[in-house]
Amino acid sequence: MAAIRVTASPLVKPSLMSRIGNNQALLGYLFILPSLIGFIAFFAVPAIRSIFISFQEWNLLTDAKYVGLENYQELFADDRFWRSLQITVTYVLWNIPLQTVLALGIALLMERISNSPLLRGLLILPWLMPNVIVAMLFVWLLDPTLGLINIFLQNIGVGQQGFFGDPNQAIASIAGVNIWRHMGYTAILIYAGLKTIPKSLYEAARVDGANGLVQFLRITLPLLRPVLVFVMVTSVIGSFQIFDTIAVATEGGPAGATRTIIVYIYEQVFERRINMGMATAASVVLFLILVSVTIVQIRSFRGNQSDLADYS
Amino acid sequence: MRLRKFIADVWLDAVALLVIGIIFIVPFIFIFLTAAKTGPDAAMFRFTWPEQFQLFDNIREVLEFGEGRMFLAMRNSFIITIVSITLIVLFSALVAFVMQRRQDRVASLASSIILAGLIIPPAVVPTIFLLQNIGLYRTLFGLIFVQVAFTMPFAIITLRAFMATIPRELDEAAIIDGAAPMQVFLRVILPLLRPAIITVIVVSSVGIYNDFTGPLYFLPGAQNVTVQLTMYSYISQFTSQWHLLFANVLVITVPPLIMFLFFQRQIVSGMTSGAIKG
Repeated sequence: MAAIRVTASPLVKPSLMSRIGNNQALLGYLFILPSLIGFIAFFAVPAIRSIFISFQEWNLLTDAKYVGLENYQELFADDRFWRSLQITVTYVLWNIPLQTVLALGIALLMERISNSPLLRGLLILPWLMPNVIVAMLFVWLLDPTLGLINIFLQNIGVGQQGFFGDPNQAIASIAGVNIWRHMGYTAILIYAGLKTIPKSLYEAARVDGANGLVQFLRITLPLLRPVLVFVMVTSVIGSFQIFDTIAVATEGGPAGATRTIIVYIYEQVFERRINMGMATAASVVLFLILVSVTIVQIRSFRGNQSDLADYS
Repeated sequence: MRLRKFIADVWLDAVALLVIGIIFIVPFIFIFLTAAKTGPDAAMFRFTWPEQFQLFDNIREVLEFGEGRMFLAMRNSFIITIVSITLIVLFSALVAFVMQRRQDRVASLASSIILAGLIIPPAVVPTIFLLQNIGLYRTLFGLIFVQVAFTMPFAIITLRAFMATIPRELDEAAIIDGAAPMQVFLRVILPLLRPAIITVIVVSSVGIYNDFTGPLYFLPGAQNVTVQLTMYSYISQFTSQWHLLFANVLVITVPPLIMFLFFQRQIVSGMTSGAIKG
């Protein structure tokens, strides 16, 4: 504390700066001001403009025309939109539970065996790679004839799988790629949470005769809940917006089997005739879905006892 | 009995470690091997040792491609990442400080806005119009502002949670010693936030450095190339140069890897405190 010196000498008439400095509330808002301006400019303005565009018919080339709820009506009448929502939810249901469980397993393993920098580096490596490259890598690994995974599956007698090329497996394969990319990172987050659980709790439980499973269910999981809620809420939001991997690996195919909601939005702008109204209407719907999903998650996992407490 | 149980446990752990090792290592060995092959050899897509080991030639070719374009891309990506991260850390810490210390209505409004910020899907076309209107489209600063806006919600949540672990008494003591609020922030809070700041630096800089779609939409033009877009040169519909593509991947993965190794000791502790309310 010695480094901090008195700045406002009482002999000098208080300057404007020090008068602001004395008004704590005002100063607080001043601290937030640059961020607020940035937020309004780069978040709020485009987002609100999107909402306006969703009530217009607009192809970027001619003037926009107000059409009321027509875009939303067209959207809700479009089978491809409902199908894309269904595909997105399927993806999230493959991705999140598997990724979280595997990451939890790896974290427990790190806690039990080793937390060497080498292991940590290895686990984080996929996450350091650009997702475009990860997708390309798996296009090769999962190739029907040349891919290592198919060669392995053939050798153990499972037989060749279509993966990205098979409409029934494509979305699960995409989920697999992203599980591979994120589980190490998620494991390190969960491991960080494990480190905060006092060892004495386990000792006490052992004295009371609780076995490993009981200890896990009664001590580890409940005390990990804040970390798990944080991990789940942020990864579900990301998962709903999956795009890059699909753009590289399947481009929404085969036969639209991986056309998730963001791919659908992308197609409205960049592939078919440009239809900004439909694209932004779909974005608005996606936003509303994400808000509901996030609130439900925070409420049901009692996230109000986690980092997200003040955001519910 | 005990011994058998011990062996059973160890056996399970060993298998799990082995599986993790294979799952995580094999793809990277493939990248490395392909990057060391000749063009025709790489195009066979086999998991074999290169017929002719020419990793360093391939890397040189990647570095020399298009009159040092890789260096231009590195420069652009470094500027974007470093400036964005500086702004993110400074502004997020300020917001987190105020929000955590002042639990009033404005702070709770700000909290809702931040959660919304985490959720809002990027509005690409309106953002391009905005950048055009303020003259920042196709400029590094345009992309920097976009990256800052999209990363700040995560940074604020992480820093704010950690801020809760810093006792309020410290600020009060500093104020009694005569420090102005800005000094309290710079001299007391910011140094104590170090572990959480490191987490924010690592996580957000990897995200920004590896971002593919941001530069694609907001920063078109040969002069504005970023490291992720250098990969495009080696992929075309008919003749992809896989050996050069993967050599390129190796080159551009070096900076984040160095950063990770440099910070890796602190990362776990920063994440711990960042993810759990004290």
